[in-house]
Amino acid sequence: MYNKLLGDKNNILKKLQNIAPNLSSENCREDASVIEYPNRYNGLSTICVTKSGFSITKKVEYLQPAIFKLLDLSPKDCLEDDSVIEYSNKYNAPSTICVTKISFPFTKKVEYPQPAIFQLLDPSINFLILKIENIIVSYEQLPVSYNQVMIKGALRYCAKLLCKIYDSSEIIVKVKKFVNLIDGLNQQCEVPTTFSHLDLTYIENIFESIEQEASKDGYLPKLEDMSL
Amino acid sequence: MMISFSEYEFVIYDANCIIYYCFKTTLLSRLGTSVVIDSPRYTDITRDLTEYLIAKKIKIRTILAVFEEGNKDTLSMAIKQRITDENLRRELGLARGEKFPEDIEYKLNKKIRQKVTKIQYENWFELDKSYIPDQILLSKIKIFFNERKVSAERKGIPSQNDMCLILYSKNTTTPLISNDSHICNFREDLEKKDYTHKIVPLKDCVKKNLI
Repeated sequence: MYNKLLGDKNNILKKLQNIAPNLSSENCREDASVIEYPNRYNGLSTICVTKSGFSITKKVEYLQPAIFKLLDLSPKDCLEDDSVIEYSNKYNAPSTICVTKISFPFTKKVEYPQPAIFQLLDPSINFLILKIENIIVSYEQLPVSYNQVMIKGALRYCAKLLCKIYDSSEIIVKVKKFVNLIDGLNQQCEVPTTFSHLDLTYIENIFESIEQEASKDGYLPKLEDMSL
Repeated sequence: MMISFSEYEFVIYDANCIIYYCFKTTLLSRLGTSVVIDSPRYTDITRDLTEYLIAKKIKIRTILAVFEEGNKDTLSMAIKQRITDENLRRELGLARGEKFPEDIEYKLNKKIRQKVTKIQYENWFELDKSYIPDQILLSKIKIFFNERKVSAERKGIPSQNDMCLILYSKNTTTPLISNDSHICNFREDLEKKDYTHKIVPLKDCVKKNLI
């Protein structure tokens, strides 16, 4: 996605190397929409370009002003507040850049607000995220096992995914079905320890198909490519 | 204490030994560094021991129930224990009290589980899928542990699968290497009463002890 907007990866890397000399292709992880690099505060920085259903949105997290200039993101005619700069992109749609403060050793992340239209399109998303959180809590009561970790991990991924979806996507329907399938599964075992012995391969397979689709559509990388 | 397995064609690993052997992976920290996630000390001991056994052409075996228990419970517990370690969390860039993300914990579980699953196809590993313990012996060993339940209360008693593994050692005249305190605490009694052939605590199998 960012290739379209910011040029190819090598070009971006070359520019970034001016202020982050230790940056190389090796220490940059790339997936469909995210590049990460170590910044001068020894923290991890991310440039992330995401797609929304009605326009193209650029979201740059932990961006330092220097990078802003290097990437020619036209700071002229920008509206600026504490952390967000808005400007018109080449598609004539409003784009936003988030500039966050870095407080070493941990970075403070300023979340990009989702477009208001998203709320109008599907008001049940917040409810679904809340439901996921409650299910995760209910699974925490079970003894630690692969099944328990798998269910909680899959649900956390789904919650993160829902926060990244900016349009009404078919994947939301899949996630809803998945969440409904899992909800109450832990109640089926009279003895909590027997939950670890259930064969939940089919649930894992459904989750993998969600992962696959999320990564294909550029919402979230697959679990194996996720980082802290 | 010197340990030699040269007289054996096989040794038996318990679930912990298998998990520790596979428990080594890396995770990118928030600071951009690659952090090794393993079980300090035990991963190194099992890796050295396994290398030693492979070099001596001694195969490693276990029974299906124990292997599955390792994949279902032991693995996740080992990871959970590791990711709650404050030093490791600091290395990963997690703030004090910050919850370890469930999806990343699942990712670690998945990665290590794949390694554990693969191990059964190694030519130095043998998974006994058909072993069924003698039911009379199994009842006797249960009584043995129940009788010691009071003294072992603080430390617990072995699971049914571990009891089967103890008997498997007897049936196959093969030493059982274990890191399970439930097993190791009673090894002398178990050997004396002929419930097992031999139990070797994993912590004794450090490189310098192996001959």
